[in-house]
Amino acid sequence: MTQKHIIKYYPVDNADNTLIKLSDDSTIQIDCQIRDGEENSSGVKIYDVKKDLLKELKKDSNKNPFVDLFVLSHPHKDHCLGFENNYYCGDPADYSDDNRKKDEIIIGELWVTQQIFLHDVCQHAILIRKEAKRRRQLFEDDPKKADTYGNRMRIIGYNDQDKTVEGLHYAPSDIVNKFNGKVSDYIEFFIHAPFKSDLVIGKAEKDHNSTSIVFQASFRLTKGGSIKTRAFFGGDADHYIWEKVLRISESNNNQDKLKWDIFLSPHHCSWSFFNDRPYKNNSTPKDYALELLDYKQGNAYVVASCLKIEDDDNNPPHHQAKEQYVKKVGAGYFRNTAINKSSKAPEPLEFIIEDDGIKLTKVESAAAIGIISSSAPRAGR
Amino acid sequence: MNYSYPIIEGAEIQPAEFKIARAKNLAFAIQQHSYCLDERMVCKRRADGCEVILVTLDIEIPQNPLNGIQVYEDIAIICSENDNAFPEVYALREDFEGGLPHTYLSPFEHPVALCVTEQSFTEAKHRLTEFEFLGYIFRWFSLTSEGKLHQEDQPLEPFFFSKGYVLLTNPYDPEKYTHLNRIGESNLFELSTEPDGQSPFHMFGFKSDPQTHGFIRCQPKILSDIAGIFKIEGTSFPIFLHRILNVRLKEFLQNQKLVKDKLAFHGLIPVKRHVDDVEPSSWEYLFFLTNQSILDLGEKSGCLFQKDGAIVPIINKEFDLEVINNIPIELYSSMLDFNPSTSALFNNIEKNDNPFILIGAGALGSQVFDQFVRMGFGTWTIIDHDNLYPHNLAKHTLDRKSVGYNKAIKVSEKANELHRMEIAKPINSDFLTIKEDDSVIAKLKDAKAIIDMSTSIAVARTLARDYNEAIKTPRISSFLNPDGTDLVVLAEDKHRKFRLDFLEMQYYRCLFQEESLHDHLKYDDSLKVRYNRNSCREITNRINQTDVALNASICTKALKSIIENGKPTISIWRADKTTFEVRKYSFEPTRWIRKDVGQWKMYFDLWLLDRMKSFRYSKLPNETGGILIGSYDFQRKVIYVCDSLFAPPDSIEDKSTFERGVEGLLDEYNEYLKVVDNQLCYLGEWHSHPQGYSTNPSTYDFKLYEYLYNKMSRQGSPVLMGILGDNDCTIIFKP
Repeated sequence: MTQKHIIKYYPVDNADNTLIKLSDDSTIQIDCQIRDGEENSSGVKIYDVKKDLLKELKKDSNKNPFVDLFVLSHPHKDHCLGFENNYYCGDPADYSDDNRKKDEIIIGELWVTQQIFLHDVCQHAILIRKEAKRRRQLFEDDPKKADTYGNRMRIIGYNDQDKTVEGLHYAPSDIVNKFNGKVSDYIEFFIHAPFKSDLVIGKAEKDHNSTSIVFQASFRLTKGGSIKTRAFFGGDADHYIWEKVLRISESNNNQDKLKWDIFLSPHHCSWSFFNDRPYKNNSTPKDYALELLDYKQGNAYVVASCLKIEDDDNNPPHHQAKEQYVKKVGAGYFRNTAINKSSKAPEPLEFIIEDDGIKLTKVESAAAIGIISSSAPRAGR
Repeated sequence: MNYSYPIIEGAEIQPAEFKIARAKNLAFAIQQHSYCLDERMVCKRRADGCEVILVTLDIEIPQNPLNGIQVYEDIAIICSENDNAFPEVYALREDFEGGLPHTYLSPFEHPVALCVTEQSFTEAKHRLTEFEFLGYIFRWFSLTSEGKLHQEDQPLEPFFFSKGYVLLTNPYDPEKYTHLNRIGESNLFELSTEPDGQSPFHMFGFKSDPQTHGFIRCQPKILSDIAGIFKIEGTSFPIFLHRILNVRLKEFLQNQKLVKDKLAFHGLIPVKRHVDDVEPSSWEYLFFLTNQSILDLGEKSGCLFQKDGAIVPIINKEFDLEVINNIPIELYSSMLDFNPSTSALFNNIEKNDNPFILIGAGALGSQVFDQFVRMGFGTWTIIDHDNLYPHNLAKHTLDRKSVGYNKAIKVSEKANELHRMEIAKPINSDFLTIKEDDSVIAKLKDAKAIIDMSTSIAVARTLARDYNEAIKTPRISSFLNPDGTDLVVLAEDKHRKFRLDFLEMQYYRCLFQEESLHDHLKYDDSLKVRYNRNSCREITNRINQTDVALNASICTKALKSIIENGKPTISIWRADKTTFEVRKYSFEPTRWIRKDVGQWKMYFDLWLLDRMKSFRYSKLPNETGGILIGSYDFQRKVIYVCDSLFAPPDSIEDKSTFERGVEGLLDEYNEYLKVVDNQLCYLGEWHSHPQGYSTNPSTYDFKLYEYLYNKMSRQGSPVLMGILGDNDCTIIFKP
């Protein structure tokens, strides 16, 4: 059978919700954005992220849905809306019929930053903080149990003030290929950020975006095979962070950790990747931002997970930022989640990784299949 | 969208203004399609009424696409008023790669015409939606970008609008032929060394220097159009031709007909997939037909003229290169002639060149052979001494012209003519009279399988027993039942562990065991036409051709499968007379053991021995027994014991004696003979000895055998007596 991995970027307006599904059915979710309602304020149909996730995720031996790894890039609403009610918090042994009825998703392993433990997280992140605290406490109390399904956690990055949970961290330059208790043959993560200097108490509280987890995910199709695709994720990290990512990697001869075939444009295609905001005062993109984009491999994609990008002053999404990306990859390789398939009812951008590299799928399903595969509208009197 | 190709020039209109329904629907479909960038759509009407849509497609392509396909491709779709073909589709990009597979040759290099579907428009029209048609276009680009559009059995080069076809022989020698002759009134031409028929063409063949795949970018119209494509040792073809005409003019003038025949050119072009390839990956055969003769060219060049019917050269004049450059040409495709390779391909099977022997080219044999021939399966020796009679035409593949001729010769001729090569050799003889011939034995040895369709048990037995050491080739016997509704295939395994004579005995026994086959060999004398009946396999009665054809097809499939898997087979296929459903009966071939008495060989079916042992066990501590059924072959001194009818209810069975009763036994035996059409018979008796006793015959046993022997030997029949004990079975037999 042909091996292939999938990366799905969901249309969630100015927010992030990405799912990686490997050929062995392991799943990794980066941020979440699960909204209620039928349409957003602009009349665009809200895509049912939860329904699709449940379709893609495996079920554990108790037939409960789970994701192997959940990465919260940083605890902002546009990266964690809907966590409450859709993800299970607590000991997996206590997963009840009530949780099952709500199809709450168990997180095999959770990745967060130190910021989640601060007091000023948004209300949508409070439950994640509670769950992270539970797992951290379990790690301190019962490290063996903490290394079991539904209890695992890693804190990405650290600072000098945080020494209480030694052994629970991954730091920049770490290469990770084990999650949810299993070493993966297919994916490894190179941790770029957050940097210690950005996690300093006081500074970090002022700018959560700068504490975003930045990593490069490298995909192989076979055990020990060559890397077929590299994907970059960086939450809402701004150009200061990306400059450090570039400079540190280059100075450490880690140029291959800067390569990318697919790049999630930071902060929902904001100008902040290229320079400070507002744009009118800082309209020249920083060299290092452009330099980092030049690490693209062949026909690489930039994904803008944001609202439809119009030629206006919004930021994000920012039209001039888009233009900069398009200059680097070409119009056909810059993809905006808000307009995939339809700007009225967008669907996820689904990339498959196979022997030929990465490919954006563009399937136009037969109408009959669409009708048959979803419930029909109400009929009758 | 800024393209200025003539074929897309026209007045720009709104989609709603389209008059051609197909164009209007396409424009609507484009607006609905997720991956058509409809904001870039341009609609036009050409002066000739054709309507044109220009649009950009967002193509699904891999990260490193092949064939230069890009993620956004501009295309033109052209719809004609008569709507009698799929809309034309063109890739507009000026640097779009030419010469790709599944493109058409046009008179221009760009835009490139795409062949987006292989369907027939007539067949697809009734259900074709424009949305689906767009899907074809997307699929063309996506598969081309992955190098997957092209199938192995399709030519590498683009399609061109061919005026017709030239049949290519196999093997093909381009230098062998000098003429192209039209077949009847068709657009098919045959290669020949002689002119034939109306308006033959004189052909100049040439082998071109190697080309790289995609070398034909547009449809040539005059000879100079191929100057840059076809070169012979570096010289372009028009110059090459010019040189030949001038140098060989005197020679040509010796044959005035040649000079007056229209010219055709034939190019054999080695095509490499990549420039750096050393060897070509394929060979292209292109034919160009002209409406000009050497005389026409000479007159136009001023180097030839006709005087009093003679063609005369003008001194110091030569053929004019310009005249040669401007010879109008029409491109013809080559079509592989029918041969074993193409027939296997078109039958979707692997070609098989192995030699086979077919004995019997009657109704079933000829039809099975015909199917193998049309599949390109095997090379054949056909043995049959029969001639074709008028009544044979009802069920034979030969036609009236063959009446009165030998069947083997005529079916071989027909097969060889079909392939235009020798794939079958006939032997016009009765197999039984030539079975010892060295040449026949050599063929039998070399064959992959010997297929007996002679309907002769004598032939089957000869094959089964008479060459065991000399010929290791597996034997297969196939025949129809007298009704023609049932097909029987008895096949030895490839190591001949299960021999044909044993399979035959088991086949008869199975007919009796399987109640639904009790009428298998039933024969209605009133259906006989003119022959005396020789065997249960003979079918010269009034059976129906549809039954023969149906069973011949099954037989061919079964034989092919057996030849390929080498497994032993006892199978019967039966077509239901009212529903025509076919049921297959398969019987697992059994092992036999041999006991020799004097010159006689006695074979016991182990299945029967097991059955007798079980019966004995069920009756212990008493003795029991029954009658033995099988067959004998006096000629070869062989006895086959394959079945038994066990002790009837009135038998006396006690611990020291057994007296076989009679109740119902005769009726059952007669029924048995009827079912097997007397191919099996009574062979003697058997009884058991109690546990712990030997199987040596007792005084009673000797007396019993004498009784049996006296009765049977009077009529010349052999008789056996078996004594079954704990571990063995003693056979008493007086030769």
